[in-house]
Amino acid sequence: MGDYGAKVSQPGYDVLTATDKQLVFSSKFNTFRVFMNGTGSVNLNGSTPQTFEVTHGLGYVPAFMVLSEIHTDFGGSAGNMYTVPFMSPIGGDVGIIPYADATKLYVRYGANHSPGAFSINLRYFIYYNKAK
Amino acid sequence: MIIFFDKLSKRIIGTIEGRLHNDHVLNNVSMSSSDVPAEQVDKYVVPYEPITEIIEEPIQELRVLDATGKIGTVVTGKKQVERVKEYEPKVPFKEKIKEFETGKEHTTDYDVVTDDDGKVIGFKKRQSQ
Repeated sequence: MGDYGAKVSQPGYDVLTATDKQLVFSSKFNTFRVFMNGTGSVNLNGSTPQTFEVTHGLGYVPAFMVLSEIHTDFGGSAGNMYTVPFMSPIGGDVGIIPYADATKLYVRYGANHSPGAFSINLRYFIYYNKAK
Repeated sequence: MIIFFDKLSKRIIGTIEGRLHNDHVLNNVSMSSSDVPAEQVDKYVVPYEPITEIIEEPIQELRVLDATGKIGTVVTGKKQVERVKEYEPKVPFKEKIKEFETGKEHTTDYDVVTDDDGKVIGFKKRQSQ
């Protein structure tokens, strides 16, 4: 049976003879395929953990990536985004933990991640690729 | 773009980016957080409309090219056709939506503005904390 797929070469390279390194894209590469991506915002209160949830409904645990602001108390710079999970070596319930099950993506902010009321922003990517 | 917001405070709590979404995303995906339970979240799907333009295309016909019977395409004229140039948000506040899409503005800095029926009619920048 034939080998079918799609590929795109870099400028200057013949797609019919290009090596894998000379390709921009090939359907044989096991790349992440984005199911959905977007933003989120959570109001922290400084006393109870807060969890942001996205219901993806895929029926399996997907691969994902989450970027989040980190409060300046823990080294984050205002406006910067950081890959999470984040855990502080100091201890306490201050971490930012993303996790997923077959229905939802969750991003949990520890009860003490902010000293008081604080709105924190995140960006998420959920992939078709299975995590489990 | 799909925007999820708190029905009570009007705060935007999240988005799904992109202009084209399949039925699974439109019908099954939702968002919530500890401070905004699912039943308090409403969803706004930004509608888009095609912006068309008139362009000139060649009229091509299959013809016998030479005495050997070789067949090929020949341009016999030109015609004007209408094609979709791009898609734009089909709302009065489309410029703000485009700013969200390009990253010039961030949805998390905004609350939605709704009419008496709860329909989204615009956005209002939140006061910085």
